[in-house]
Amino acid sequence: MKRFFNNPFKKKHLALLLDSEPIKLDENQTINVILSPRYYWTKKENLPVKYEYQAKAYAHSTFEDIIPKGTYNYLCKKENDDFRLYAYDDTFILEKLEALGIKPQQVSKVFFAQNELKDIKTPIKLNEHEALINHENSIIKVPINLVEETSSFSEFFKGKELSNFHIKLSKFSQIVDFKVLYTIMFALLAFIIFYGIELIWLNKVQNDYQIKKDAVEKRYKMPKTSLQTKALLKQLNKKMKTQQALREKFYRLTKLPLNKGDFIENIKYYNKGFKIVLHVNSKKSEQGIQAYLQKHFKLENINKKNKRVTYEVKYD
Amino acid sequence: MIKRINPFIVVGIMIAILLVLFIVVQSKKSSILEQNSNLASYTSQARSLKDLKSTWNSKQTLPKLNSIISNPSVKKKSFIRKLANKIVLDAKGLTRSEVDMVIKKLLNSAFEIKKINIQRVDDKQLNINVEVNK
Repeated sequence: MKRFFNNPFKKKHLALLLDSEPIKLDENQTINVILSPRYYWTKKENLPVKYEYQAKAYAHSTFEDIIPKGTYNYLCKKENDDFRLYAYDDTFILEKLEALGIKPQQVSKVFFAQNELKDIKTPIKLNEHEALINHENSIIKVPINLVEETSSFSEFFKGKELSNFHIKLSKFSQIVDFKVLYTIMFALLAFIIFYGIELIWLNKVQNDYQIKKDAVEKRYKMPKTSLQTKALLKQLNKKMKTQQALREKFYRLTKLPLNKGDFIENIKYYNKGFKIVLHVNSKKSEQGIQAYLQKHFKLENINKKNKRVTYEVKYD
Repeated sequence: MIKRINPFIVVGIMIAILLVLFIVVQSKKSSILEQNSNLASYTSQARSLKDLKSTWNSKQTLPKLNSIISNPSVKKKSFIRKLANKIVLDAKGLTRSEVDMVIKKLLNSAFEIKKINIQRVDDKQLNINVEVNK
């Protein structure tokens, strides 16, 4: 992308051409690294595709028989109608940087000499034995005694800016496709956001329940604790059960099988029991009444005095 | 210096956050389900408590007893006494049909009966004594 203006806040890092004279770095200093041709393979190809990502798919087969067997990262850049393919080994470059005492976190971006030095006119001295030249649009490394005149990298680079075509080094880049990793990160982030929103919503629902409970408490004038509520309910239910039982049993007593001439003299109710005083005319009638009482109550006592029979009954 | 963070660490942290969020959300969901059933049972408790309270409302005992003896002939033969913790209904010399009516009304009214005593006086008359909790 073309820059229309210079960003005054952009931090400029020192550029290091790998394999040139070693430089001393502070522990916290960050640099940009330009790879010399020793650290990558490049080839210009005319491919039957339109876009770089399509051309990248051809990179592996293009380099297959040319470069030593190994695991490589591939990159592609469109140059007019052709594609320039790159193959490089992350681990090898990282090892070299480590040997120079440069930690991976000190490296901001990594560039290719092929792209950054394509404009060189005079050969650039790499070290005491080698120089970089532009041979038919390819930056190659040659023994220094083959070139007549050289300039230094710092002279060439003075006032120039690095391009936007760069890579980032990672030990795992050959086994993991970072695009996939970023997709996973994006998916994870989406899930985190989803669960975060759900959690907020659930908290709201939980608060609503408390509000509803408070409203019920206020509306029905409920006791303050659930223990009090349960105790009150138990007490009222017990009262209900006792009184219902009393009414049911009393109703049973009104249906006593009395024969002609038999009558009830007295009925007393007290504490889950009845005392019934009857005037019974016959033995048969007495047996019928006793059987009836035994069926519906617990017969506790019978007291007989002539035709006057007193029954004491209880119920559960 | 801005340190570049390893994306694997970022993914790891994200998975950990997601896991924690998932566990929190699940526990929240189960606690909400519990709250929902608690609220339902609490509401039903509240309703039954309201029903029971209104059924066994002690303030209604006296009016209910008065309505039991509302019949003019029964009213003449009955009187109600209010004591410290109970109300006593005494009816003397009631006919059989009057006793039937009083008993029917007694059994269908919601108040706490403590004692009942029905005494036959003669062939035509009966006395009733009922003690009800105040």
